[in-house]
Amino acid sequence: MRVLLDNITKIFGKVVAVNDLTLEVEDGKLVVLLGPSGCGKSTTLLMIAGIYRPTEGKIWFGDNVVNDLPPKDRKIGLVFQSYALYPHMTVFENIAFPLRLKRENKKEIDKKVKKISEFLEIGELLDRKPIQLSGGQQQRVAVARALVKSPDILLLDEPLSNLDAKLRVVMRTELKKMQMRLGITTIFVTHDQSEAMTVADKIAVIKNGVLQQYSSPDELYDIPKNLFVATFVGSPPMNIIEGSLSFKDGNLFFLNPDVRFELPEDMKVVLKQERNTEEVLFGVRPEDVNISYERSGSQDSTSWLVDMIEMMGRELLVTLSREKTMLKTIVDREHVPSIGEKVNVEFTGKVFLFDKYSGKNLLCEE
Amino acid sequence: MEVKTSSVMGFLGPFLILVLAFYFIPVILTVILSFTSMDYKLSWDFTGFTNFEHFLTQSLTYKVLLTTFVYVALTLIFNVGIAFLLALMTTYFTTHENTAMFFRAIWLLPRLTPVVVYCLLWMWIFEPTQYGLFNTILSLFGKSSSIDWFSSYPMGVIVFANGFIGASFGMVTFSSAIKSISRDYIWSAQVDGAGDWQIIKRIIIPMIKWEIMYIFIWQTLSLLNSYVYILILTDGGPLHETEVWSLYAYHKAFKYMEFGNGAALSLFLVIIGIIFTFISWKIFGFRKMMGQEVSR
Repeated sequence: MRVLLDNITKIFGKVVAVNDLTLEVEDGKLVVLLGPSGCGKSTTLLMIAGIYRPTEGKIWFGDNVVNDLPPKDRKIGLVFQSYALYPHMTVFENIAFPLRLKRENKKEIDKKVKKISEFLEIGELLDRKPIQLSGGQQQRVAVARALVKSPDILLLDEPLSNLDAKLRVVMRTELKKMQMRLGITTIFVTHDQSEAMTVADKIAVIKNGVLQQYSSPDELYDIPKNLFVATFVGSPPMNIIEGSLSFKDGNLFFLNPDVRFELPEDMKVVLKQERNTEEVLFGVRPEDVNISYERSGSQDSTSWLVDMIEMMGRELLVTLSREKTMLKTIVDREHVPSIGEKVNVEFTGKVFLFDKYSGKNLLCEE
Repeated sequence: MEVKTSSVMGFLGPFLILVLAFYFIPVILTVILSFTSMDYKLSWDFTGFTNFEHFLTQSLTYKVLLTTFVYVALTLIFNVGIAFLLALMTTYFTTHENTAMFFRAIWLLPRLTPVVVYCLLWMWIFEPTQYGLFNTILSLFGKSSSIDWFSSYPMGVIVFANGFIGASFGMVTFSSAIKSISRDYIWSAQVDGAGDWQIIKRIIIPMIKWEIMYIFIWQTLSLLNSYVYILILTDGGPLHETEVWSLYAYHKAFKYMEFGNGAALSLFLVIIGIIFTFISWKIFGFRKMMGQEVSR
């Protein structure tokens, strides 16, 4: 079922929780609403569920406006972060609850509960109470309860946030697999960008109730539309350095009192846009910063001081500094620098430029 | 850590003395008194089981027992029912918290008014002449003759008067219990297809079972022991129609000065109360409830 949010606004008292949000979720796709806590992503989900009514705008399911439809008539399944398993019911009763409310006959209920619980591998837990289950099992039961009525749309509100780190990684893969097998339109809310990147077909980044960018995970990573998206997506976050642009001898440079970088050819388009070139932000991802120990003179990159080294397992996160400018880089463990050492820096991947005030990516077309 | 017995007694002592003086000793005294024929002369003459034999052989005793049962049952239904209804209205059905609070505060007002004033109000409401509130309302619907509520429906009068004031206690307890149910459960149930009635029946009631049991037992015990409103409103009349057990005991002791008899009646009430509490625990599955972690 295709879901379309058409200029949705939600206001609580004086607080604008969601501001003029337009979003289309294609049939059968998994879309993630991503943003920091309090950004309005859960509010958006609850509006799709029918628990909140949008103050303005329309919500479409397929060809119908569902603004006035109560939750029970929307054919949706919903999983909360808390799972909201009814503690006084057994697992079986929990899963059967939506079917019992529909007054389906007993045999049919038994059959459906059995089928979904086998699908989710919780067949042996049916007699237990939720309190006797582990976090991962509770999560599966909650998903089973959401899916047992064969909904058109599956809504997941931070479904993995209550699990421990290891299980979370396993479950997100399983959720994605399950979603692909069932081909069910799914809207998934999370604040965890890596979770979003792994499961999503498309990601909607939301900040303060406003949609920042809606695109595929690749595009979000490669072409962030603004500073917020650039720094929110990717871990460790993108390096951001303040400075200005200058054009000299046919080359474009980024500079501030501490550093001077020559920028690639394709960035010259920025100059044609008649934008503010005095105050810009330069961005580069830590994984695209390379360090070397010889003095090469090709770029103005000499002599960065190794400030700190953090162990990240497979790699090291190294913090470099040059006067007041800081730069983080990922270094593999074969070439471990030592603190206090001087190194050279080279950018091997994409670099970004943002407007200091609007935060806009200067390389993005309007 | 080792704790000295003397310091334990030092901290517990003052409270223990209070409990002993005002809770424990009266019970012992009641038990002892019930085996005497103490009257206005206040002498301790032990007469064995005479008092019990006496009230067991009187037919009035059985009438009073029945009256008590009817009174407690009706008031309880009224009381707990209205309390639950009020709690639902001011929590589940009212999203605006200030409105809900205002409404609940109004229902608590009778608790602040002196009993006599409260009873006076009900006397006016049930006034047998045309000036009584109920009769005025009836006349608005075209009924010309006034009803003498106190002689026609004495039981109704005491059930109403007791039920209304009693409801506020359950209301406060239930509303806080309902509010402590995580919204996720309600939302989840809504998405699962439950309407208001289904949510109340299948989610809210099972989740506040503990509080319902508490209010149920508490109200029953206090109704068994309460007679002040009845004393002021009807004094057990007409013709023992509203004479409940505790009022019966009060009359025996303080009207006829048969303290021994009164104590015996009271003791009987205590035993009924204890038996009732155990039965309720069984019905509500008290043990099971204590065993399971309360999660909301």
